[in-house]
Amino acid sequence: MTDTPASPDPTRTGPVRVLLLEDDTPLRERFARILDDWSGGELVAACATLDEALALLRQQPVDLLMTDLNLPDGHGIEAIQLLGKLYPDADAMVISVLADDETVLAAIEAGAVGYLLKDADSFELVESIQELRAGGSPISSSIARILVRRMTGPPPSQDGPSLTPRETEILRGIAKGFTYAELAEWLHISRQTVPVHIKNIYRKLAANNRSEAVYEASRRGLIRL
Amino acid sequence: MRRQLGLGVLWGVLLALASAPLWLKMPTPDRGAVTDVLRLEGGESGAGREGRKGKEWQPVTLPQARRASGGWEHYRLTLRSEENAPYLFIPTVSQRAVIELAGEEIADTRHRTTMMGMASGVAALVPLPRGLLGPGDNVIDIHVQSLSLVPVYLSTVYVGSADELSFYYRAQVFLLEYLRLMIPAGQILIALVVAVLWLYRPREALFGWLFLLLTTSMYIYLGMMRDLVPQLLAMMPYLHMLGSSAAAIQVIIVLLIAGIPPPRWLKLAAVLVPAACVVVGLSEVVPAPQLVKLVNAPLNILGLLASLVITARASMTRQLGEAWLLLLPLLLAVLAALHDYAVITTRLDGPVLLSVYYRPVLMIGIAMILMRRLGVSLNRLDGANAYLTQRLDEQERELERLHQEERRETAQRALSEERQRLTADLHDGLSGHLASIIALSEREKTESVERAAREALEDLRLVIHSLDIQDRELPVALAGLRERLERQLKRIGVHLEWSMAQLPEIQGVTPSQALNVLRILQEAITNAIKHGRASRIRVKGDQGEDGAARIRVENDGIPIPRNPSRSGSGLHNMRRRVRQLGGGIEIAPLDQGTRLTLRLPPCLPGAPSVA
Repeated sequence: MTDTPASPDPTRTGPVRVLLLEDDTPLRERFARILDDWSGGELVAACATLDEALALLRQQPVDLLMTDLNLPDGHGIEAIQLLGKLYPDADAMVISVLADDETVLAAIEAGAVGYLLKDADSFELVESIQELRAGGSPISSSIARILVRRMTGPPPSQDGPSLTPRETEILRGIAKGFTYAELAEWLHISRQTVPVHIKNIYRKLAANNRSEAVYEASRRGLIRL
Repeated sequence: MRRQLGLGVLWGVLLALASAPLWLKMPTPDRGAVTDVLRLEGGESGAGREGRKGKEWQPVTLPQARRASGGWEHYRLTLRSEENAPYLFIPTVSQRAVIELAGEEIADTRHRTTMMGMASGVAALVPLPRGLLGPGDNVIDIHVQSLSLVPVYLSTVYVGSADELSFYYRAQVFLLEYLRLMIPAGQILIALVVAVLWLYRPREALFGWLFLLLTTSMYIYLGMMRDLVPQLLAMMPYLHMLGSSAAAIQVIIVLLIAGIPPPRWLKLAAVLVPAACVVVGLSEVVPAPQLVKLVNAPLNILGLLASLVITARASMTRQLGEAWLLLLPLLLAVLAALHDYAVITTRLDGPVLLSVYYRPVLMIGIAMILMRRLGVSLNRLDGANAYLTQRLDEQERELERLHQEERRETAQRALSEERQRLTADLHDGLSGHLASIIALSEREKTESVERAAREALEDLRLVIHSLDIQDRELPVALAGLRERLERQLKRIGVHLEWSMAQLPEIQGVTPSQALNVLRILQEAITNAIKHGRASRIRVKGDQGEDGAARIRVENDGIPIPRNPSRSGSGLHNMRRRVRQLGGGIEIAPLDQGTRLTLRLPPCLPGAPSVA
């Protein structure tokens, strides 16, 4: 592992193919409208149920899955897992009303690399997607804090890659409330590198995690730190 | 200190009492003394008072001491009739006196007191019958008998009325009879005490040996009961032999007190020597009285001397308190033995043998040792008790502390669970609905509804986020606020500059106190946008000149009026929250813009009611 995050891998150019999965109609329609208006993206479909989304995923490739977590017929994590299985290069983004929720973390451990707030405006939405596709992930201090707390606890059976010292430093810094700019200054890295480190942290979390267990725990409401 | 003083006084009194026989002179009647008497020389046969052929009267002066032992002596005094003295008083005679007046026997001390073995000294007050008193000179004969080793002794005698003499007679009787009886009584008492002690604490070998010493040395007193049990007289030598085991036992005790384990042979000697003597005596190889004189008596003295040497060494070289307690009694006992030896060998006048009197001093020494041990162990017990009580108190306090902690943790856990449930409800329900309202109002182009819904959602996030805040986590709460502000301000095109890296750590942070801080800052920023129409906002946390935490919010908008006519509810709420935080707030206009300064104490006051 090097401290330099892997650069994004835009194997294909052209508009980002987006699959939207959101059961709340006003929200779904709103996001669909924003995505339709965005020239850089292409809305594959806007699904209201998990089954619908899973079927679509099997039929055609997507670059980005935007999904709500609590769905009438299941959990958004299932869609994220299927995405990861079918299209390893695709990104998953969770739509959540609060960015510091445990379920968001569960989704990250299942393979999501970003999240979007439900009240995000069009500008935010587009910026989030662009950032994600450029290789960077957002992280809130709350999620960082949960991750740091988990690191100080007894280590779970880990067989995947572990965090580099730099990644750990970044995580701790964000958990303490430092801004990206402050961290970048202290660690002598550019401000833009911080989200890339974050995305790597997310990938390692997902790799270290047995998704089934997380999904199960999350479904039964057991995961609350 | 007090104990040392007390012990000193005790020793002084004991010493004075113990040495009394050496210096105390009994008072004597001031008149009626008879010192010039005649003694029949040429020896009087032990058989009787007859046959005075070839013997002559020699004038002698009373008191007569250092005479031969084991026989009779005959003294004669002449009493003039005009003296009108109806009583004859002999303060001390050893060991028996038969008194005759005009050839008629008028008294025999044996009828009142029988001298046993080494006992010596008896007093007599004899009425002189008027019928026998004639005109002119009256002859009084005093036959003195020594029963054993004790030399014949006859003190000055007195004649006079009963009133004149009875006080002195009673004093002598007390000294020579009652006091002597008290000794076995006291010894029995101490023996009982030791026996009880030993029964309750058989582990302590010393108690057992003390009990044995006290009982074996009591055999010789059994002679006093010979009037009740006549056979005792024949058994006396054997009782002496059994009693001599006390010599070995005494050495064993002294060794135990000195902290030296007594050798096995000494313990065996305590049993075997008396037993062997009894066997030899019964087999009539050697006459029993000879055995006592040649074996048992020297053994007793040897035991005494050995005890003295051991005790002296222990007290001198090892500074043992108990050895010191025993040293004086032993010294006195040895002194008494030497005294008695001198009396018997007619090197001292005597006639009273002191060994019998000094035995209680040894007993007192032993009793003091016992009481001292009792006191010391009680003190130790008190100490142990105090220690255990203290430990118990500590344990109870610790338990109480753990209990409190446990309760606090339980309460914390319950609170945390409740908080999580609330958060989940808000998340799944209310906030989701607010997001829908935003989406709907955006579609319907009802901007005011959309703005209200957005504000409501942001406020909800503020509350939910602060619920999870724990102590010393104010920076986390502030970071959450920053993340939300960044989005809000970006949307309306206001630049936010934020730095909390210099903010010192603040303790006592609770969710409600964190919410107070967040709401004050939120209000300051809302005011800057609404009323000040700011385009840049700078939020900086650092340490003030006094070292206290300080958060400053500066904007570049319209400065706040110096004299705010409208002290709105926003400002009022800010002040209320600052009071709860125990901090201070200043709002001051700048050349361009306004600055709000929030000061916080290093430790926030206890959780007030929810803001």
